[in-house]
Amino acid sequence: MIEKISKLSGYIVEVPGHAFNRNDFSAIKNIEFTDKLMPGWEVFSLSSQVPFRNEDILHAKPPYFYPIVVRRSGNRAMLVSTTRRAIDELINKELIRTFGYELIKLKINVDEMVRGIVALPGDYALSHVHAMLSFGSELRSASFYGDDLGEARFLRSNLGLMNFTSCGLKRLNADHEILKIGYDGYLSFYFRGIVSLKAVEGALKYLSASGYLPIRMMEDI
Amino acid sequence: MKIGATPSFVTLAREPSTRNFSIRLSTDFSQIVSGWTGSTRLSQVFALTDPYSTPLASGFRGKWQLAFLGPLNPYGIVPYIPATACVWLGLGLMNIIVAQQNARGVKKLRAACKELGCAVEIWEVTDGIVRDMKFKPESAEVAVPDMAKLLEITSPPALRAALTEYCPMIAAAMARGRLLPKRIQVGLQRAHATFANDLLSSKVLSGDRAYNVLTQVLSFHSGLSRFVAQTLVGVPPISATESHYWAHSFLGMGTADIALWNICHFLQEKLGELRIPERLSALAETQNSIDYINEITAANLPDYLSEAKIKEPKEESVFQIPFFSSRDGYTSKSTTISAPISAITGCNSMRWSLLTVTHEYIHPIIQEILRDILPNLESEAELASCCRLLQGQTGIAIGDQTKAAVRAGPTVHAETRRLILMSMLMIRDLDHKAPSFDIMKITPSNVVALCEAYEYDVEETLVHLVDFNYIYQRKPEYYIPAIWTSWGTVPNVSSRVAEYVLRTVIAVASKNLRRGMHVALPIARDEIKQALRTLQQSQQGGRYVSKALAVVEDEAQWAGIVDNALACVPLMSLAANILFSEKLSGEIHSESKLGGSTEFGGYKLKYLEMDGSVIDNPLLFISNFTAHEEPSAAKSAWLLSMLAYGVTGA
Repeated sequence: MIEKISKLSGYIVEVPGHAFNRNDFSAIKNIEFTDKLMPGWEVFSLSSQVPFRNEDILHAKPPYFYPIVVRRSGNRAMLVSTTRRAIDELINKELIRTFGYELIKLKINVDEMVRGIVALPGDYALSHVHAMLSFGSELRSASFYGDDLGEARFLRSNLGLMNFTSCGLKRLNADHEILKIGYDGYLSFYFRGIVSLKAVEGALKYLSASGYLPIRMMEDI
Repeated sequence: MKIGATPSFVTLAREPSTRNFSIRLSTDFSQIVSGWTGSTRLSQVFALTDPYSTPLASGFRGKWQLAFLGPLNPYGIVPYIPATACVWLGLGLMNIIVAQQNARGVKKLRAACKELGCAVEIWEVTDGIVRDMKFKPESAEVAVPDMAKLLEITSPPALRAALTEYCPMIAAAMARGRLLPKRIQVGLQRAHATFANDLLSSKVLSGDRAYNVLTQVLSFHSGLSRFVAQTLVGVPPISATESHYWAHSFLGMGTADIALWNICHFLQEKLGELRIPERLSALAETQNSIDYINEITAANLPDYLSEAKIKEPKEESVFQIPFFSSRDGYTSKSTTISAPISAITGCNSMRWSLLTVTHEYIHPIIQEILRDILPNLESEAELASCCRLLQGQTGIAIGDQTKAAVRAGPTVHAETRRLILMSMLMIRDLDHKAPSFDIMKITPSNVVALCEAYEYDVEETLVHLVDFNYIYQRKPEYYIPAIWTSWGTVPNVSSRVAEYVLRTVIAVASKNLRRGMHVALPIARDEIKQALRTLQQSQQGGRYVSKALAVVEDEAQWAGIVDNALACVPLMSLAANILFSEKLSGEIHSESKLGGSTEFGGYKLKYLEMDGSVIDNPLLFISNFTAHEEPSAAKSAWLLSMLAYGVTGA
C-alpha cells in the first residue's frame, strides 16, 4: 500500500479527554485497516470519490485509495498520507463525523525550536529552515539548506532578522533528513521502511524532551 | 581535442661518432633506458587527437618539420595547425610538439606563435636526424636585477659564499624566465626583492641575525635552484639545456611547475591575502570585552577576523617559490613550497593529490601567528604577562566538561595566547600523567618550558584545524580520505599512526565543538571509522589505513585518543571561534564555471579532453578530478595542463 520510498505528510492532532484507538478509524465508513508497520504505527486505506492527486487526468475512475498512516499516542495521533489533502479530508470531514467536533491540530512553535537548537545544539542538526524576514515586501522570506545550519555563523549572526516558519531535522552524522515541521503543525518525512519510522519517533521524542513540542509525544514507546 | 591515454617517450641523443642529434619516439621505456648514452635526454609526451592525425608509430622517417612551442593552452593551437599534423602534449615549458611534412605549415605556425605570444623552435628532421634547429636569438634586453649590493656583503663568510651561489642563480632565473607567464616573472622579482631589500639590507650582519638570514638564503636558493632546473630547461635553444630530473631531461617540467605555481597563487590570493596573522594581531588593540569567549557553546560569538581592522600593506607579500621534489615531498618554508615529484605522473590519484599542498601552504601562516602570539622567550615582561594570563583563570569550559570558574583574557589576541598556553599545559599534564605546574604558581621558566616543548605540536594541530575549516569546509567525508590517502605515501608514519589518528580526531571533532565533546568525539569516531573502512575496501587508501582503523576501534587506544583530544579543546575553540571566519572563507570556494553534471561537482569538463573550457578555482577543480584510483600519467598530464593554462586570470 505504501511505496518503498514515499513522502508522507500530515499533522499531529489531539482529542481532549479521549484516548485514540484503532476503532476510532475503523469505524469510519470509507476507511479500512490494512496493515501494522511496527508497534504504534498502523496503516489504513481511505477511499475517496475525489481525486486528491489529480488521478482523473490519467482517466482513473473513482474511488481513489490513499494510505493513511497513523501513529497513536494517548489522546494524540500523528496522521500522515502520501497527499496532505487526504489528511485534510480525514480531519475536516470524516473524523468530525466520528467525534462530533473538530480535532485540534497541534501548532508547533518552530521559531522557538530553531532558536533553541541553534543556542544549544544536541544530537540532531537543522538541515533546512524557512524564515519570514523583517525587511519589507522587497525581500520577504528565505530558505536555507545544509548539513548543520545551527553551526553556520551566517545564520547565527542573522537570527534577529528571521522568524522561522518551518524546519528540517537530521541526525548529526546521517545523510538523510528525518522530518520537516511547520509552524501550523504540518509535518512530513520520507518513508524508507521501519528505520525511517524509528528515526521519526526518535526525532519527535528529542523535540518533546527538549520542550520544543507543546505536548509529550511518543512517550508510550 | 583528446589526450592519448598511453604515454610515449621522446628522446634526444647524439648519433654515435657524430655531432648530429637524433630524435626518436617510443613507447618502450625500458628499451630507452637500456640504450642510454651520455647525451640522451628524455621526456614523456601524449598524442593529441581529434582533430589531429594518429601519431607516428615510431621515429620520424622521411622529412619532417618539428615545431616545439609553448607555454600555451593546447586548445589554443587548433585554429592554426592542420588536422593532418601529428601533435603531442608534453609537460615542459615548450609543451606542444607539432610534426608536419609540409614546410608551408611551419610558416603559418610561426605567425600563430607570434599571435599567441609563445615561443617556438623549429627543427628540420630527416629519418630521425636533426638537420637544423631554428630559434629566435636571445634578446639583449633582459631585466636582471642589480646584484652589486648583495655581493658587497662580506660577513659572515658563509653568507658571502651562499650569496656567491645565489646571485648567478637568480640572474639565470630572470634571464631564462622571459618565457614564463608575466605573473611568474613578477613573482620571482618579488621573491628576490625580499632578500635584497629586507633580509640583506645591511652590508655586515652579525650574531644570530646573520645565521637566520643565511638559513633563509640557503633555503630559498635550494628551492629556486630546483625550480630553475625543472622549469627553465628545454627552452630555446632547446638542445643547449637539460634537466637533471632525468625522466624529464629533454623538455623539463615547466608546465607542472606553472600548475603548482597557479595553485599556490590562488591560495595566496584567496587565503594568504586574508592576512589572518595581521588580523589577529590587529585584535590586540581591540578593547572589546570577550568574557564570553570561553563559552565555547555560545551562539553569538562575532566573526572576529572579518571585523578586525587592518591597514593596507605597504609591500606585496612574499610569494613562495613552488617546485617538485622527490626528497622533500610536500613541505613548505617561508619562501618555498614543494610537492612530491610523483604527483607529476600521479596527481589524478588521491595518493598524490595536489590538494595536499594546502596543508603546507598553511604552515607558514600558523608559524607567523605563533611568532606573534607566543611570548618572546627572552623577554621577562612577556613571560610574566603569560603567567598572569594563565593565573587569571582556573579552568576552561569544555562543552559538557565545564570545570571551575573562568575568566578570559582582555582581548581576542590575549585570549588566543591563553588558549594556546592552556592547551600546552593540558598536553603536558597528560604527558606527565599528573598536573605538572600549579597554575597559580606558574613561573616564567615554566612558560618557557611549555613553549619549547609544545610549539611544534600546537603548530601542527592548528594547521590541521585551519585546513579542515578553510579548505575542506568542515566536511569529514572529504577530509579523512584525503589526508589518510596522502599519508599513505609518507614513509615515517608507521610508528606514529595513533598520533595521526589524533590529528584527524581533533579536526573532525572541532566541527561539533559547541555540542560538547561527549557528542563530538563519538561522532568523530563513527565518521572516521566509516571513512577508513571505505578506504580499506577501495584498496586505495594506502598502507596505514588498517592500522589507523585498529586504533580507532580499540577501546583502550581510543580512550588515550580521547584524553589527548580533550587537551586540545582550547585549540579547537581557537580554530573554530577565532581563526575561522565564515565571511572571509567564502571566496576560497567560489567558482563561476560550473553548470555541468554533478559527476564532477558541476564542472563541464571530462578527463583527457580539452575544449577550451576554463576554471576559476584550482582547488575545487582538483578536488573534483582527483579520485581513489591508480595513478595515470595521461590524466595527470591533463590535470596539470588545465591547472597551468586553463585557470582564469592565470
